[in-house]
Amino acid sequence: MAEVIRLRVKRQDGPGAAPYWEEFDIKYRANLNVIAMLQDIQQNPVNAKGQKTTPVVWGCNCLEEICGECAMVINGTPRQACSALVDKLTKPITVEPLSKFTIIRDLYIDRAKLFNALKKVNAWIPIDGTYDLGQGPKQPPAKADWMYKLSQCMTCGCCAESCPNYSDKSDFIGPAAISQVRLFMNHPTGQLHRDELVDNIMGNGGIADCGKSQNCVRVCPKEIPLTTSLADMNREALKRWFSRGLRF
Amino acid sequence: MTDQNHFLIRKLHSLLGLFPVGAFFFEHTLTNSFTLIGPDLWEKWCWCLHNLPFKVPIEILFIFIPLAFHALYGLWIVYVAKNNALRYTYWRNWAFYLQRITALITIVFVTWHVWALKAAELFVGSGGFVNFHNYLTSSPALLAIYVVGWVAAVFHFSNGIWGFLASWGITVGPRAQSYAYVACMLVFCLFTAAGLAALYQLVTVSTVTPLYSMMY
Ligand code: SF4
Ligand code: SF4
Ligand code: FES
Repeated sequence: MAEVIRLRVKRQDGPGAAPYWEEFDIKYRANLNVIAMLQDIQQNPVNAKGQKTTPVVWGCNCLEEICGECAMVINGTPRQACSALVDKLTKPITVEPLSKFTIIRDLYIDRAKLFNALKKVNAWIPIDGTYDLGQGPKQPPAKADWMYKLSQCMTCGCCAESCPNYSDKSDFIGPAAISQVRLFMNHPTGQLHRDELVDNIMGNGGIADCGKSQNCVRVCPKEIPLTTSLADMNREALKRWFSRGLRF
Repeated sequence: MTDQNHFLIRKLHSLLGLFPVGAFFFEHTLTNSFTLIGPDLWEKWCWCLHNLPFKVPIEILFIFIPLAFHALYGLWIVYVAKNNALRYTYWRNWAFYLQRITALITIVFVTWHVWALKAAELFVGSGGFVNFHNYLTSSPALLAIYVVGWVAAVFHFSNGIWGFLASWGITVGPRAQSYAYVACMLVFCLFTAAGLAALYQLVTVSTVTPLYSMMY
């Protein structure tokens, strides 16, 4: 069966260039996913009108929904292209780059804004010393369980893409970085830096800028309980605010 | 991120929406509902409110300033959102959008409502009920604006309680949040019904029977 699948791609030749749509017909085969379709175009850059064109540019790395690199808007929903199976998508398939980031070319976006947010909140645990610090403390399995879920965030940006408060109009760092703060402040070693971590999300662009539209939790490919993280960090931030205010 | 004031301003905005602005809205709804018991009682209750001791400082401190702050900073919050309810059609995203739309409607409605009623001086002296009845029945458009303004304010209030509970970290998990949402929508129904019933009463009743005259 020589079935072909129509793929509509929103393309852009460079940052700031005007976007345009181009369509491609891709030969169907079992277990085809969106990345494989793009790879087909890369090998044979001919559009649906039969014209030779430039290959579509996109980012990918792990091909198993771990690295976060291949996020794009597929049929209107931000998700990972590597886990977007053609069999499960309505046709024709439409792919667009994430709109909240600088587009380098076609579907390839600059995710620096996401990593800068992680840097801004210190989303890590400082364990380096001048001597061996020994083993970290143990943690109860129940806690390790829910923290593991948070640790699966791959900084893909799907949540930020869907968030109405995440845009160039506002400094909001987005839900992913806030959820990472929740992860690290609960980590047995991270707990030592608990207060600083909470302080980091209480300024401009921090937790208070979330408007509770809850799109983020609906689109997250890793099903991270973002709205629980947000509400929990709201609580922690308030506790911190009162504690700070009454101790100064 | 060292700016400490941002958090304070955001939380103040959220708190003021509930208290005293929301509390005042509750009192206002209760006042309106006195029309259901009797126009006469409503008039007397209004008279009490209009002759409250320290009325002006109370109005300024507990209504005007918090309301103005909530409204003005709220306008900024409305401005920074890039609404996408047509793309992400989840109900919560629609509620987020409606919260902003009803904010705008409520600001315009309340400003006009307060300004027009203060200018008309309907409640000076006696006959407040009949004056207000005549005012409301003077044009169907005016009545329609009241209905729209009321429903918008009630939505903003009840959905706002839900938002408050989440952003003060009271309802944290998804189930707690959805139960809270059911409760808030009950509040929405109750307040909508109360306000519309009061309007119905004001529009359909044109004479004040001094039901409770024996009490005075
Ligand atoms: S929270 Fe989910 S959607 Fe957001 S960056 Fe992490 S994995 Fe992606
Ligand atoms: S809940 Fe907050 S972070 Fe999540 S999409 Fe809505 S505004 Fe953005
Ligand atoms: S290629 Fe890594 S998440 Fe898709």
